[in-house]
Amino acid sequence: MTAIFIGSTIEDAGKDILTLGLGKRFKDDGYSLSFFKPVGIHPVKVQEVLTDQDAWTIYRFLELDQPLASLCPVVVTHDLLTRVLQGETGPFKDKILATYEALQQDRDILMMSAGGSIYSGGLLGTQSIGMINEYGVKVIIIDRYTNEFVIDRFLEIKERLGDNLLGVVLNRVNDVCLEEIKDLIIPFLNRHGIEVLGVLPEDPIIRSISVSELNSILGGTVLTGQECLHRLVENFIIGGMQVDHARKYMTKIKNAGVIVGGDRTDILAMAIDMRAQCLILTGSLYPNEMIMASAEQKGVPIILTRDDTYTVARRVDNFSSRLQLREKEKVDRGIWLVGKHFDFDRFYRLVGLGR
Amino acid sequence: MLENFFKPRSMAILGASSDPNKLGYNLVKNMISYGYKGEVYPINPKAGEILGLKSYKSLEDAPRPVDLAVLAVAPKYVLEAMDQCGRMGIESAVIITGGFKESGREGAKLERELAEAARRNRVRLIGPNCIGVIDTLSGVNASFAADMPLPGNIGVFSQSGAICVAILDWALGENVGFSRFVSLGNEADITETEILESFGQDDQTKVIIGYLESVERGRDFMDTAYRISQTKPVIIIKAGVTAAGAKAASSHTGAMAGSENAYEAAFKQAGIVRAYTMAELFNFALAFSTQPFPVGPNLCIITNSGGPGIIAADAIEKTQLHLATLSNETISELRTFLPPIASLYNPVDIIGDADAERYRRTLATIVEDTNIHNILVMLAPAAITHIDETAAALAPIAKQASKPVVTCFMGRKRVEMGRKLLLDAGVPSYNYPESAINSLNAMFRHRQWLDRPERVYPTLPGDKSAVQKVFDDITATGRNDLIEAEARGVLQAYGFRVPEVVLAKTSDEAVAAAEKIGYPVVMKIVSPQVLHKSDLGGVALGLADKSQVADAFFNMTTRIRNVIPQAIILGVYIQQMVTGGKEVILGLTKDEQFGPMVMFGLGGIYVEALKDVAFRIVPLSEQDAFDMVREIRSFPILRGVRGEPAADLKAIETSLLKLSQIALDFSQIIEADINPLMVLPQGQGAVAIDARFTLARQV
Repeated sequence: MTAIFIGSTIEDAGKDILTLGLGKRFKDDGYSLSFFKPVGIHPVKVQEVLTDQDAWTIYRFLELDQPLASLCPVVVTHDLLTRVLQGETGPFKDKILATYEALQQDRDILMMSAGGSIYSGGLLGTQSIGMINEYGVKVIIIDRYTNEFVIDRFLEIKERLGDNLLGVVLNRVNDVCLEEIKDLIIPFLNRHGIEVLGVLPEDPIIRSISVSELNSILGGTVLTGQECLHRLVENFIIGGMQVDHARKYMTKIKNAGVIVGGDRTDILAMAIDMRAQCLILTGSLYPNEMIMASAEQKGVPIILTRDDTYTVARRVDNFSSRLQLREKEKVDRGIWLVGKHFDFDRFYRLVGLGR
Repeated sequence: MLENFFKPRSMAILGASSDPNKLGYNLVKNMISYGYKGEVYPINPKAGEILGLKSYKSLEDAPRPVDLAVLAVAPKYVLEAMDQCGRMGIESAVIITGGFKESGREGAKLERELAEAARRNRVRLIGPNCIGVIDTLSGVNASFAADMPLPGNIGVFSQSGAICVAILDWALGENVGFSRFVSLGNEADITETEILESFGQDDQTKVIIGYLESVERGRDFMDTAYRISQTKPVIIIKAGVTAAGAKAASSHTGAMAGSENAYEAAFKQAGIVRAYTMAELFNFALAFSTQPFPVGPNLCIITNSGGPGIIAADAIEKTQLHLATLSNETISELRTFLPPIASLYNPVDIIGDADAERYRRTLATIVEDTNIHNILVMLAPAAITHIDETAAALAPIAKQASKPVVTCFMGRKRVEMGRKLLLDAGVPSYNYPESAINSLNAMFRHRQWLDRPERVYPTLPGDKSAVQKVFDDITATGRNDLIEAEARGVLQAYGFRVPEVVLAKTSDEAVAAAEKIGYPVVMKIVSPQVLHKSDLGGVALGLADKSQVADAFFNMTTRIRNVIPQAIILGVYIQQMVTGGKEVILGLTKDEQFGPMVMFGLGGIYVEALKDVAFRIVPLSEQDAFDMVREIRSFPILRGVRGEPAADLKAIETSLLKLSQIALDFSQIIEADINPLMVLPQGQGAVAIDARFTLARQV
């Protein structure tokens, strides 16, 4: 049995994509697989079982056959958090270790991924690094490649994990950085004993957000286009400009959501005409009937929000770094990306799995 | 006040010209053409003679005293002219000259300097960039208007020069006379409020009409208009009615309140008769300036054909007027001379062959009927109709009647002479029945307004220092929005009833709180980052047992964490669920011109979509609160439909007055909602379930 821990040094680095991509390939290569998230930070109840939203997504898409309750032994609800702060000291670590033992039975590979970063868990006494080193679990670290400072974080985690660090994956890499990574970053890391197992490019579909999720985070009201809420918005534009300029932007930008005041009939009409993915109306300004009718006819969803344009844009932006994989289209894309850009041969060699 | 503008003993015209193509020529010509008895001194550097008047090289060469200076010189000379006025002790000036604020930044700067120069020299200004000033009684026509209006009893002011000349031309066409006429221009000094005041004091002016684009110092304007409206109707058209909705509003009230709502409310409270179209402005002016106020809503229509009568009857449906039954005596009398096929019931159809005498006798009979308060005489110009004779026969009776009598001669070409006869005699004659009926309706409504009891402004006690402390604490932290507990504190300090509430940090605490308060309960998220709790799933209603409370706690805290990851969740409120009442919303917002404004509407999720809300400017009188509750279209729901008990309307009114008091006491509140206020059945009061307050940023 091989135990693999997928972690990151920062939050929202892309652990779920990597977990899904690896899991899919392991299954395709004929390995039996189990998975759990030791600590979940996105609670959800599935068939009356309290678990983690992201673990549940992974469970579904990898079609795992373990008990649902084993998916996430410790789920941090607001309730739990408050009780811990008030002094409760549940047997959190014991629950995690019990799950770890149980899921190893009759499986080739056990995958784990942390909620938050690899450093999280102090509050509950469940820091990952201690357990990893105690049990000799192999770790893959994935991180967003923003600039060279990511190297510092890799060196730091290498020091903490030693040989348990199998390698690292760079995520959301802008294509202009590819050469630098190949020529400088990878050789540097190699010289410091760190393997680079994959370089995943920035991807518009992964980065996208569905109209329904958008509506949910904005606390908006869907005025029309209920049947198109699954659509993915890849980019946003703010329609606070002259209509001719906005039209130029729209022709350049793919799958755009347009954020604009409901009284800007000119921009709204143009955006519907250009088949925007959705319109986000700000300031509680209802569009006129002509706009509603044409949006309905052309299937462009309209979300009405109470906030001003700046606030909406800020919230959308805040959210775009922590988007979760929920829609099939995005999951499929993620699995494909990992399949293409992750060095499975090297990985198998490193963990000693022969095919 | 401002009498020098209207009755100057002498005036100087700066920029006077002998060139008929120049404005300065028209000014002199207008001044001497309409019977002005005072002295006119044209001022022109080339001097000489203009239109037979001796001209002076400079203002300071002119004989003294000069009561009024009229300026039509280039903008660059205007400042110097102010100093000259100062040296000569001239206290009033009309600045016709344009090229100030309306022309850009340079002009705006010049206008500020002009205002300053005027203040320094103690000169009061009308203008700049205006048409001028007219007083028909004194013969003053210090304007470059093309004509002189007829003498009359209507005072006119306008913020638009173009509207001024249009009104003048209309008035001449309809034989309507004016007492005074002021084109306000850019209002560098004298504004609409002072002109209104001066018209109020002018004996010759009985009705005031105005064209407004904006108001400075809204509250002063309202107070002046209110005072004058007691004796003289003030009819105003307000242009620039923009879409409601402050864009960055954070409350329901803010999202619904626009400057249009503020004007609408201010006009209502001040008793201003609002015209929504230019046609209405003219129509109302015609009726108000010639007719006595009706003492009641009952209207009788006299017509010579069926169709127009029906159209008029339809128009009445949309008003507060009422097609009343004639008294038996009137019907008996009509029967003696009308043909058997005539309809003796309202509308009274005296049929197509009616001649002038039949019209005259019918009107004379109905005028005597005390059951009828308004009369509309209609005429359709059939081939056999004696239009002019009919007009001539109707005019004297209409003129002498103690109730309003208006006419509608339908058509254009053939009725033109008849209409003119009536208008000359001071009897309104309209082209269309709707215009006639709307005008009568406006008069009836104004009469009702006049009959209202004197305004009463209650002072409602509140624990000001408690609220002050809440606000101080909040501003000290740099926050603008009150969290729920703070908002509740403010309401309690002013005597609002609020439900019992317990803060619970965990699901166990939530269940314990619910058990103590008693089911069903309401759960609400407590987080400073969540302003609109229900939008984000932060409110759960009607939780009926332990498991529902525990589930709701999990769902709510999880959801809020999902949608606002950075939200600080302090717990949830478990609140007594108040049932058996009707939800209304009360709000407070601040208008730039008129200050704080209270809103009222039916509550619930459709409040913003329907915009069925009423507004009043603070402070609210008892009458204002009473009116607001009854003004919304959904009022019947509050009164109770199909045997429902009526809601406690008095409790709503008191709540509105309390909110007005809070706004008066704390000017830093820029927006507030009490949503919902649960109004229990009559006699049982109201409970403020939830509230939000937003304070102004501290400078």
